[in-house]
Amino acid sequence: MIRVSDGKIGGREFFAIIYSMMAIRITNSTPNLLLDSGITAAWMMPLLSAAFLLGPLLLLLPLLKKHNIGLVDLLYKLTGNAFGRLITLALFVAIFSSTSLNGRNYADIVTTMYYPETSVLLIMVVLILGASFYIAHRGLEAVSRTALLVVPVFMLTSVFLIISVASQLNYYYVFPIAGSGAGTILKDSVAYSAFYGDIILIGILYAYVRSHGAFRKAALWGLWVPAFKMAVFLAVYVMMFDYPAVQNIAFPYHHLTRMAMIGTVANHVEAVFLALWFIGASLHFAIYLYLSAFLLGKVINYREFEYLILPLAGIAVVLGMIPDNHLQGEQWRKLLLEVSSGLFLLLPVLLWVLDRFRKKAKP
Amino acid sequence: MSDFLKRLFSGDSAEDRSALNQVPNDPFSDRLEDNVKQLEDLFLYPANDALKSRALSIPSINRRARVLFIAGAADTEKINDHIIRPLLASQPAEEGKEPSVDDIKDNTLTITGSETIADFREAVRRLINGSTVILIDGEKNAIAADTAGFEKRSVSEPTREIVIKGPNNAFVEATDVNQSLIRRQLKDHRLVSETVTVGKESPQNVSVLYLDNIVDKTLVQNVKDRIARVDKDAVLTLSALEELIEERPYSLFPSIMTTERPDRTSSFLLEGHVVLLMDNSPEALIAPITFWSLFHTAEDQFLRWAYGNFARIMRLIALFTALLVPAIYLAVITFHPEMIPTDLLLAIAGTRERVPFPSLMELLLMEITFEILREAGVRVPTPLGTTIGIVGALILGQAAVQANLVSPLLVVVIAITGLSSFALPDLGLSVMVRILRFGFILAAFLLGFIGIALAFAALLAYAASIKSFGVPFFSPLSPHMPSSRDLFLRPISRKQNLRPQSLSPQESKRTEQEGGAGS
Repeated sequence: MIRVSDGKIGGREFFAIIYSMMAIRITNSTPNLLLDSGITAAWMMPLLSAAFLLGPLLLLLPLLKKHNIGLVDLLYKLTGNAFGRLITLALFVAIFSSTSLNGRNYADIVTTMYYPETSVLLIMVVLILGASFYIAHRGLEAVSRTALLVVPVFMLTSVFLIISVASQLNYYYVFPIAGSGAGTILKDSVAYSAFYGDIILIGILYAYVRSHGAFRKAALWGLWVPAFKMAVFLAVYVMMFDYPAVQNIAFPYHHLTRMAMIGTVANHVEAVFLALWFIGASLHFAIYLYLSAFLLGKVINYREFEYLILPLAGIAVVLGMIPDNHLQGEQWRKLLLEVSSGLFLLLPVLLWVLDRFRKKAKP
Repeated sequence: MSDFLKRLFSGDSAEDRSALNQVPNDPFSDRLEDNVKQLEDLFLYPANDALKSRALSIPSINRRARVLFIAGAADTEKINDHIIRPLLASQPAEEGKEPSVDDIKDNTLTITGSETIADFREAVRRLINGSTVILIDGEKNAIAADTAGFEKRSVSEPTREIVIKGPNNAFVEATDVNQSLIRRQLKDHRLVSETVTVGKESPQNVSVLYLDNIVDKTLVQNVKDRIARVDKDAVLTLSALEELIEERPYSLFPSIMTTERPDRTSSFLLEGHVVLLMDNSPEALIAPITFWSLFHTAEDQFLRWAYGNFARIMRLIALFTALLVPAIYLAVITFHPEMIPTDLLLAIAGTRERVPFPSLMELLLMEITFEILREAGVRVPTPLGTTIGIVGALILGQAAVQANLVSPLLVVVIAITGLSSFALPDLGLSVMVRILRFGFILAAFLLGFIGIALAFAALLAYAASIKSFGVPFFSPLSPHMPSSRDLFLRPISRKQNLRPQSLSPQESKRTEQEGGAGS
């Protein structure tokens, strides 16, 4: 049945956007941060982080429904122009710096694991200024449809990867089950909940989604599915490499793909996973670039924010070249995560309180 | 000066140049000789002998008349049997009860599709379309009778979209025949056929067909607007029209397709597409199209579920093979040799050893040779066809390997790729894949699998972003919409429950709240 598109984003496409923003984190050096603090219980932390974020998300959803505007407009409406602008700027800084740092992280992975003779700059340029810029430049609708086309493939590949290493896993390695202790795990889960902060952030796209029901469904599924995937993979890393070796592996996902075998003929299929991973990466950064441009456009009151994508992509590449090596970038990432976790956890609470307060003040 | 500028920018000067508009829009006079003389002048009579006329006198009104038609456009037997014979055989009427022009048209002529006309421009338009014009002395109206009799061939079998099982008739160059072929399939009173004209100097009729109860009305309007915007002197075939109403003429991705099968056209109509038909074109233009229109064939639905889906899976593999295999070969050879099992790797290295060129050169050499071979194959006269096969297979395959120009594995890669591109059903899709393949080869040469991945992501984003007449290229897969799920695979016929009536064109839209209670 042929139907002319109405330019809105449906629930499935929106879920695909959230999934490509969050689920790919399992492949970069995010797991290292979690494994460092959670040790053998690291797999619980994504689930706990997601649970902590569920509260703010559930506060935010009725607010969005009530006012029927995007998160940024809601900020301006409830906190006033000056504060709204300031918080939007903070959101922009949080996601743009993470775009840049993560971009560098991906380029480091490629030059370390696959192409040792290629320069980091070249990878950064083709990834962020090349493919990601182009995808973001085609617009949000294109991004969402592309995401929906590839996300099912990524889900299948994840399952496929786990199946292909299943015979090499040792299930006893996940014990002791509490890892570094319940207290530490709870505390660090809150600190690292910015991994799923995207779920709050995508509220800025509320006005582009077809209906509130679609948004709500996509946001809830988009929270638990990537969290579940992350939990499974963290458990697999521990079962594969064992503690403490797993803490010393720089990029566990890429080591895992090296271990994957299909029968006896194809025992080196990591290049296939590399290609699929990079398709995901280009999409991931495309979404981040688009959101950065959107937020910056709101901050400086520039309506045609699509024109900001190219300069932002260029700046992201330049900023990404600042860290001398990936270990330095890692420290900065950790700092950024802890700061932005607070932002994402508290922002919906702030908005909710303001909304209540204003309602009481008005009549 | 200002007058000149006004004319320069007003844009209606083109309107004045149109050939039919140059014909004076004068009404007929009541003198027969004047009318005949005027028409003969318009058709450059003594020099141009196309305009034929026959003088006669009609007994019923006892007046002289002229029957005019264009040789080659009108059917003379029809004119003899249904116009001249009834006119001559009419009985003289009583005094004061002479029939009017309308009476003659309705009660004397034995031909359907006659109308009275009153001016020369209309008369010329009718004549060139094969009608016969009857001028009667003392009347300011004339009769135009539909006697079109252009030569046409009979309905034959399709040549491009061949099926083993299923109906086997194809469109011909006559619109009325094509319409009858469609109406024979689709017996629905809501099948609308609108006629619009295209081309200024020699206007051609284009029939716009759609099912009124299914089609999205904005779509029909969009198609008609695009046809109206065509600014050309003459558009002779649908293929020319295709490019003129396309949204992205430079894009590799087609936004319109043609089919020569009436059954396929009918199924497109049932899905809510708009179909364009035109005289002189043995095909129908389908708009809008999606990826699935290019990927599916008519036979998928005729074969049983398993057989049809098996063919589709093979075609999907062929699509990816044709697009990616040379690039993957290059990437594996130059960047990821660890992927190849050791024994095979040694064998490849052994055969590559004697080839002096880098892999990219070797690959491009073979690819270009194959493309030339294919281009030559289309143009070679049929008796020489087998020669091309021998030249291609033996000399280029065997000898190139023996001369150490290419490695044997590469010949296999190119052969599989070439074969796969023949398995793609649509010409547009096939050519697009062949061109894109070179882009992927370049990407693989620069960055191996990463290059292929990034190029593929960009290609996918482009394909997902384009729309054909407002319909996204991958819909209803992405964006997801309710559909009969006839996408990569098809469900069994019983489950393809397409109920267009239950689909409102607008899905539950967000209702804008008024005010907002809390602010």
